[in-house]
Amino acid sequence: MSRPECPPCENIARAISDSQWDPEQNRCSSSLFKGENISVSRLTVLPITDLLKIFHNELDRPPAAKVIAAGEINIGTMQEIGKSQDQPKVLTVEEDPLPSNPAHAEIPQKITRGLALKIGNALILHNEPL
Amino acid sequence: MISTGSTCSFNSALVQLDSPVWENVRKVPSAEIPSGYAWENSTNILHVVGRETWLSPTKSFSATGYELYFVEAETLGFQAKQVLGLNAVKRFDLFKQYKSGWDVGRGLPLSLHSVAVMEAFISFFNDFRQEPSLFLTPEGNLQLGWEDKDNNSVEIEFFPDRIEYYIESFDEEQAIPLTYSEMCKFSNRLYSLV
Repeated sequence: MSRPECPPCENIARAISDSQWDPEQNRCSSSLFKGENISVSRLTVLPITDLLKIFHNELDRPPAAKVIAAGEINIGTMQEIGKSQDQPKVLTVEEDPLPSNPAHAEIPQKITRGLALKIGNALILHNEPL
Repeated sequence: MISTGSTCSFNSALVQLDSPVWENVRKVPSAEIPSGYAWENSTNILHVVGRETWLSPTKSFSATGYELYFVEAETLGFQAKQVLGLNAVKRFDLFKQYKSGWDVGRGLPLSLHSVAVMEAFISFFNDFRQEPSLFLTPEGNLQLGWEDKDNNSVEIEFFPDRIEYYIESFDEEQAIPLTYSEMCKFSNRLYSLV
């Protein structure tokens, strides 16, 4: 059964771990968005502060592997980045609520390294509260 | 013991780069390297060029019959530390602590094969213009990211059997095998962006 598609006006957030972001150099890794069925969360469902708590609960693996921020992007902006590629890529975000995260959604398309890096570079970072 | 014949036989201690077989890899003390071979302790990599000649892979290369080996290590070599900088060294030490399953159950621990491949790459290319960023991918691979002279992104991921890269300036995303000639060609293209 197909899942409802989120509209371009919505904003989404992606959890960012210390392996994927270099705060000192302010650079991200393509692994943030590379691949398919990338998990994101809808900011129309939960605020960023609630999402950060969920990200920490689900992804932190002390002493290493910690969520250090959330990256926010508008779905329409992300779709424009996909379209602007030499080989345009249609990107969508599909609702996929989970018991542990009702805001959960997925980007089903396969995202290449280059496109993933461009999306990552367009993120607005939220790193509070940690 | 290491053979001193013209055909290398390293007691399974070293792995030929063109056909990686990773079992029983260990670091070989320089005392075990036969006369005529060169051992660069600083990079954890052994470059064998014939029996008489040592040529740096970053310089012009005209000899034939070379063989390129590399060795796993749990720490970064001297050259990698110098080139990558303190921030990357700290991140490397952090990544060593990652346990299997770190990325929602799918993340693999740091691959020592990947470390060796990155060290090999750095012996070919080490002019990043600024300190690159070091990342760990869910596959357990190390990854380097930086910007070229036009401020465009370059990203390289070090797999045990290949290097995958994205060069924004060329709008190019490909993989190369771990052969000497391909590493030379690739590093020359990167030098053109410095």
